[in-house]
Amino acid sequence: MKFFLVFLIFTKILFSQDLQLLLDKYKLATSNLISEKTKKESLGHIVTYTQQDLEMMNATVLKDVLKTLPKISMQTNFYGVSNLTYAGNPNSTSTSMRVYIDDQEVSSVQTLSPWLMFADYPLEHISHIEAYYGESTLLLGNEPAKLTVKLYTKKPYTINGSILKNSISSFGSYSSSIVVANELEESSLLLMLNSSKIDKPTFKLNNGAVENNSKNEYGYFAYRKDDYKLSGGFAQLKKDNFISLSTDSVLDSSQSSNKEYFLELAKSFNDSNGKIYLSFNQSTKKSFDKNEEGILLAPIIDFTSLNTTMPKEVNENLTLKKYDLGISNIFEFNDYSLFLAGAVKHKSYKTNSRDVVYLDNSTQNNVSLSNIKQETIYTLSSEHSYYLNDSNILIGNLKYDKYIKNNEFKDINFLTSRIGYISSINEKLNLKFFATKTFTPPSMMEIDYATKEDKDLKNEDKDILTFEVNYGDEEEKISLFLNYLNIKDMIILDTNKAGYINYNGNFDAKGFSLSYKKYFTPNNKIDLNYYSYINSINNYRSPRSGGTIRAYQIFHDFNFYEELIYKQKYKYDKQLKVKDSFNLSLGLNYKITRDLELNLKANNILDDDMDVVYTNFTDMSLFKLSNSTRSYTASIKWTF
Amino acid sequence: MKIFIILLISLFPLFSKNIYFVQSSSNIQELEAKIVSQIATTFIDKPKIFISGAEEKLIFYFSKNLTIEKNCNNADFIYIKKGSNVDINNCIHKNKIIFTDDKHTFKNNKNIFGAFYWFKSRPNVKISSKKAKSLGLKIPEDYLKFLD
Repeated sequence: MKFFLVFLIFTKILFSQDLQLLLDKYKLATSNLISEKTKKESLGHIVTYTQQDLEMMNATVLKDVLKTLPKISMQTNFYGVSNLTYAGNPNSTSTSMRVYIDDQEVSSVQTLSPWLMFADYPLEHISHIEAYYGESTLLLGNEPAKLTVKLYTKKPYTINGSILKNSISSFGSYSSSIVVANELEESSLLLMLNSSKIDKPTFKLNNGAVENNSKNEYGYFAYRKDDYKLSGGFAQLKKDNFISLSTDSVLDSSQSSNKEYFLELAKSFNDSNGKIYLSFNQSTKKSFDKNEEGILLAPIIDFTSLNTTMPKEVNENLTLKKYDLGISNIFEFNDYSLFLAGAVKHKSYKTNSRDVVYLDNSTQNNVSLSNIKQETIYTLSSEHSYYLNDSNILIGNLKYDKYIKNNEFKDINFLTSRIGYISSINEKLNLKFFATKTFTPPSMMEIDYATKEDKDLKNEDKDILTFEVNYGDEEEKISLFLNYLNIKDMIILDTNKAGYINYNGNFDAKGFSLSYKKYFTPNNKIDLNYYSYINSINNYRSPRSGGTIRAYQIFHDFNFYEELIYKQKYKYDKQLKVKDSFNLSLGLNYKITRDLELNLKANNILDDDMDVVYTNFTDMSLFKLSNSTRSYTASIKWTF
Repeated sequence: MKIFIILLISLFPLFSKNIYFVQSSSNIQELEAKIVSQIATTFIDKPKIFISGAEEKLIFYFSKNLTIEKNCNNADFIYIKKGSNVDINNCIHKNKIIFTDDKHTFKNNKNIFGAFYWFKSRPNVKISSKKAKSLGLKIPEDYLKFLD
């Protein structure tokens, strides 16, 4: 009888599913499905963060997520920007890294880097994030990218209401976000507004203190009707310039104000396989630096007469614009699919003013760093996918780019080619292989800061081989990623020549990344990764090896999240030893009610984040500052 | 110390391993069918369900304890999918439970008993207390939070 009762209770638990539990499961399944739908395996090698991952990670801004990416270090550069670099690479301004909000690219026209404006981008309206590694991502945009981060906004039907989130953090930082989204009768609307103040502790150096505080404001909207989508937004950022180009590493005073506006009209067709779009970006950058000891604005300095050519004050005002028009479509046949795309992009760079006061108190207005004023890019792209059978795809890409700058600069013509092979050997084992011949164009910033002898920098030529093997199922998965990269005419900052140059020597690099993921339940998983990188010149300017451990659990109304980011010790520029670092963060979410949630997060608890190396240009000595200090954040989120 | 922390983090998920049954991630349509079945069986002993606008795939996931009716007139529970072009006025529906997954159908039609759609950033269920009253249905305690 007892056995029968136990059996009855057990079967009731198994078969009578509580409605609320079913709804929770439905939410999780939708989160996984939405992120699965946008994933394009043929694009290359990808890391995905689903809605559930983002919620469980307590991720409030984009860099909370990106700092956990394998093979990547997120370090504060000398402008105080959280800059992403590939393992071992110099920590300056990483060019050709791109952020897309849905399909609109928001990277800077000047630097080809999005991190100044978008490292602190709020995520309350973001459904999921994909990071695509390497230049194999040919189809995502009409310019090559070393790393492409795609932010997908939430479908308004998954919100149908509002989200209000307020956070306070250590050092007086705070953030407020509101998201409103609704599915209307025939259309849908998504709105987001955010205002944040991010204060960081002041670093005291021998000769003074450096500050890196900022005030950020963001907005985004998307209106969808039938196959049309009108979207846009703005980003505004006021910040201290941190070390900037000060010769002695400590500015007397600084302030920069950056604004970016973007708008896109897009229409999808052919069952969403085709798209035509027109987009516009405009950014303005106002910056003021003052330093009595001098500002290393190298392009205008004559190092034989520093007193008359080295600035002590620089006040600049720039306007950058980008117009982008493109069309793409996928043509499906029996065992063959063809992707075709064409795009025209026009960028303009206007120096409204750049007023300089030199060390000898002489002044000069409208100083120019280079003659770069505009760039027009024409792109034709194709991808051919041959389905050899249900589990083997052979992929070939051809992409032609023409870059036309103003007259003083040579055109760039490049034919990018790639072959790839994706195979599912069985249900548990699949592999991907890509061989790519591509390029990275110089950014306008690199042309500005190129040596006086050669402003017309050539593009980098790259040969890339990548291989990925995944073994596992929905509960457990192990992945190995191998890559080889060879660069000719690499664009590097040559400190002896005080500017960017095309490096004549050969450069190649190899790396691997090993990941393991285990789901104990759909709400309970652990994610491990270790990566390492080696280059032919055996010279590193950021950690070349590292790993992460991320663990997530849900326990009734509590979510727990633990994250450890390890960066292995290395020798910076063959000179300065940088120690191992262990950045440990813990997060706790508590659902007070189904509509009200409290989040607590402790960042860098051990106060052992990686040290970042900077140069004091007065004596060319190196010094280290910690990338972050211990901090705490408390947030409250209300959905209504 | 650091090795200890690494080990501790790695082992954290194990502490809560037994909270849930290990399960593979469920299929959206299967879950939708389970949700609708759950609601139907809560209010009707052996429901006969008519599904308007659903693909064959969705019907496949409905519990074998339920009857799927092809003719609306023979059903006692009607589920209207979004975008469905079936006009329920062509069916005798006065004393039937009508459920939908479309917010606008639910808001604009007083005959609708309840709906399953996303609001407040999560999938949710709404039940019209007026319609429940007119149908003479008693709302179980664990369903009170879904009353509109």
